[in-house]
Amino acid sequence: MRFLYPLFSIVGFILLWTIAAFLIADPLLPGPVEVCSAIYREISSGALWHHLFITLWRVLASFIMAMVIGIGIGLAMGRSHMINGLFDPWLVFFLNIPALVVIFLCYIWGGLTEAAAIIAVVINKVPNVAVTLREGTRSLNYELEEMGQSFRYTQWQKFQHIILPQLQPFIVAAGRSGLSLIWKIVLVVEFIGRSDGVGFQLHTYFQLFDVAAILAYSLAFIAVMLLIEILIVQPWERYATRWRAEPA
Amino acid sequence: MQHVGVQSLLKVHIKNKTYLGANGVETQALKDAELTLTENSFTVFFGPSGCGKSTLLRILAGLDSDYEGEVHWAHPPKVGMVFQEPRLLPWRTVKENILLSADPTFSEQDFSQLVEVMGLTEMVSHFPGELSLGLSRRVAIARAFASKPNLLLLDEPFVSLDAPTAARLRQLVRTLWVDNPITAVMVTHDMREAVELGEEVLLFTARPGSIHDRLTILPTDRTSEATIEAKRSEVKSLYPHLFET
Repeated sequence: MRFLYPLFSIVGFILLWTIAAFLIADPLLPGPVEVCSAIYREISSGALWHHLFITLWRVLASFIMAMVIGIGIGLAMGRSHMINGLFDPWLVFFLNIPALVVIFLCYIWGGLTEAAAIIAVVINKVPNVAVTLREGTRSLNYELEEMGQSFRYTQWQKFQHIILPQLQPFIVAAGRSGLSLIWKIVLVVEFIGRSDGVGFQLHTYFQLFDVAAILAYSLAFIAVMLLIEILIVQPWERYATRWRAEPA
Repeated sequence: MQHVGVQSLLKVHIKNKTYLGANGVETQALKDAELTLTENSFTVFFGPSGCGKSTLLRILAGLDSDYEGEVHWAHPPKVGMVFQEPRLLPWRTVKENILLSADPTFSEQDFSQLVEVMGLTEMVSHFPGELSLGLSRRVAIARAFASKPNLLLLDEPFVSLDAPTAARLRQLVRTLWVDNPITAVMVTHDMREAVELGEEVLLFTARPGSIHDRLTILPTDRTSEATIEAKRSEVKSLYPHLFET
């Protein structure tokens, strides 16, 4: 029964959508059939794969960079009062600066280049990762670190066996919200200053008012992100938390 | 005077050790605490709560270096520690917990033997969250022995266990220590533990702690339940103020 509820919900929505599209009968509200045929058209021309892979590459590149930099800053801020004091005003600043402003400035100062696009996305995401990891670092168990110290663990052993497992839930949380935020920002970056990628295609079809194609690209990308969640994030999380007793 | 062939591993003289409490008041934990540990001896720090015996143990473990005084080692220190709480890594199995702290020369065969003696053979692939406190303590003790230390430190390792489990664990520590002689120090406020395991018992004064007197426990003191109890009562009547009510 547990699996049936989401299924009911999705099937119900598609039905509603079909009926609404049929009643309104306007190209600005295409039905599921039109959207599927748009997806098919874009797949068979090869355009969808091309743009999808370029966007995915940008998402992964900026995701990895933002996570590594954000984890580093968060760890340092959680560990040292001095570093926290030095970085904190800038963290607040970058948390509150509008994404669009960062994108504009990166393109103005860096030109309409791939590097400027990636940097803009990374700058938007790093503060969120840093804040989450700072909290994680502050909640580290001091007793386990003492245990490592008394048994003369190397710095790497301490990091790998004592610190990283405790930060893992914070890294997963930052990664989850990071992935969904990053792909949205990547689309904006592509929309404004790139000549390929899903964001660029959305821009093109927006000018043509082709709603079916806009939905086609959005659904294709959401499907890819869902696959990443199901095939990579969830199995990794299950593996990393296997030591925890099953929640009641 | 030292016996011929008996070498000291460690000479300690802590002139002054203070710490800053949460309320900002500085407290003196140790004052002129002096001791020498001979190789392969079993020493017990005995005294009431808050007398600085755990603080001294932490200094020996290298976990606290903020003191006035000297700690002189005859060899490079290699500490195996058993904390009051088991302090196992919850995300590593029993086997991984033991092997992570083990000495490089600790072989797979040594591991099988150790877990056999400790009665942990069935548990090696379990995670600490699946173990009782008694079993977790056994893993912590096994981990300390696997690190092949030259100084074994035990900080009230049997506290909050039921009496039969504590007795079994004391017996295990005793067996392990007899089979692998190493210099050991145990902190306790239970004279029964001290008599059952220790060779020398250092009696600490109340805060600021220093060593008030030393007792030698002879093997004959632990030949039976009755002799252990007799020794315990004797010490208690001599030093009633060191016993918690």
